[in-house]
Amino acid sequence: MDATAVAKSAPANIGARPQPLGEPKIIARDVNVHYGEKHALKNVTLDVPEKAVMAFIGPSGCGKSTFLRCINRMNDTVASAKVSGLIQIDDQNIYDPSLDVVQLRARVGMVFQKPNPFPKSIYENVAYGPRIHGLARNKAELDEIVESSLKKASLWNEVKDRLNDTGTGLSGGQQQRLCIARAIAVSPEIILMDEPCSALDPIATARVEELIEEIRRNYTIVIVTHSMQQAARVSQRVAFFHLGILVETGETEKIFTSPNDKRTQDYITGRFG
Amino acid sequence: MLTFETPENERRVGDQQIAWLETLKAKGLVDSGFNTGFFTSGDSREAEQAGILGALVGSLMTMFVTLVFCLPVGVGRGDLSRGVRAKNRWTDIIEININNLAAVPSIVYGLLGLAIFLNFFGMPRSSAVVGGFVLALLVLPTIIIASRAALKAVPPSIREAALGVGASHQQAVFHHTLPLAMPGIMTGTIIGMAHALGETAPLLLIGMVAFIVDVPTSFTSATTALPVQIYLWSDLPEVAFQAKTSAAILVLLLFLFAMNGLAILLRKRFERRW
Repeated sequence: MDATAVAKSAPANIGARPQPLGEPKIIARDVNVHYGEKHALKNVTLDVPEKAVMAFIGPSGCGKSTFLRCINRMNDTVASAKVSGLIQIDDQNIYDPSLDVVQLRARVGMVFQKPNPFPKSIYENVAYGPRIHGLARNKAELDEIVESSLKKASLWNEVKDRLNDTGTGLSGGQQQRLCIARAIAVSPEIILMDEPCSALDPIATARVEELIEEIRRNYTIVIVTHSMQQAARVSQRVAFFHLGILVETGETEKIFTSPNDKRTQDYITGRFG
Repeated sequence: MLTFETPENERRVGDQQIAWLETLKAKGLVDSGFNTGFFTSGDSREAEQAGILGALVGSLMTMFVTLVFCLPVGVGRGDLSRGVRAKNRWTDIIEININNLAAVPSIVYGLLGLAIFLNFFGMPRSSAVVGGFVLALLVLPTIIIASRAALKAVPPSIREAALGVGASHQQAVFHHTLPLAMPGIMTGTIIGMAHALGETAPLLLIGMVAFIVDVPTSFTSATTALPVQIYLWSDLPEVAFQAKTSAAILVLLLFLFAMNGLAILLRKRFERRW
């Protein structure tokens, strides 16, 4: 059976039933990740719907971040990590040896747990991606990309007068929105967010969540979160990971009201995790 | 009044000459001033004509060779050990050796230079290029350790951020990691260079201890270096060479101070916080 045929066949586990929410953008089949001896992710089979927010929840060390980092091949930078299985974005196998990882990462943006702006100006932070990918032909176009990205990240009004100030001088929440603007600037199709609010206070968190709500119409968003309330607020679909296994996936409302699996039930009702 | 215990025929200055000098002094025609000749002439058998230019140029050429050879290798090594690279027995051995090399006595590097560069490769004896290579080997561990520490101090999140927007590994290193680590690398390099500038022992073994009158004109011509010049002059019996030795030491110290000062300045100037 070739790769495409595998992808088209129905997922094996119960949770990942046919998607009511648009076409699947990302298709994962039997993904396994080993860090040296450690088997971090076991046979994950999952579809991520297009132009919607999918949240990965689960206790620490359950493999949700590991899986997220497979989607833009960030695990390649970890020498001991071995990824097997199939992950497709738009029917293209992203672990194909002929695929250009740099191009992939331009299509799949990432926002990290801790805000990590470059220690450069706000402008430079956003302009860096478009510049290295040659997205702007001249300064005016670059200015435009920077402005629209900052606007989409709802940061423009706060920073428009001080674009040359250093990005690290912003508050934590602003820094994280700057990182989102930086990811948006290279016009990705997918944005991965690895616990984007865990270092932020409730008000900054609310801003970021509003932002996610605004941009989800145009991007496919995958968000890893520790907070079940956050998953319930921002996502349309949820995948619950536990000990490296994808336990259950489904529409957010269904997972939070009537999960199929006992472990999911226990986790969302706060019995562990 | 000076007393001359040595008989006249064993002295370089005769009684008659001393008498002339006294007369000139009495007439007020003798005065002391800044000896510019010291900085514009090479070494000489005559203390009066001996200058430091030859040694200075030799030292600068040697430093240049050292820097050109050391910096890319040092930074490359420092970076490689941080990049995507499998950790195995070989890399461990290299790591241990780099750390141990920093503690090897410098004269051993001189022997190494003598055996490899002069005898095996047949490179010109007492030349700046060989001196530069030997000193490069000597300070390489220092520079590698400093570069590695500086690169390690750059948060990995910066590299991840760059990779996350689709920068290649090289772009992440050259656009972000390396510029942020540069002050640390520069400081380490300059301190390594200052170490190399003051190093004498390895140069003795590769023939840079010779008496060389001409100011070197190329990297392969015979030359000497500042610390070696000091060593040579300090060994000479003439009284006037004592003064020359002191002057040469002052010049060397001045260079060392200047280099260390530059290192501090660069560190302060380019330090970044995040």
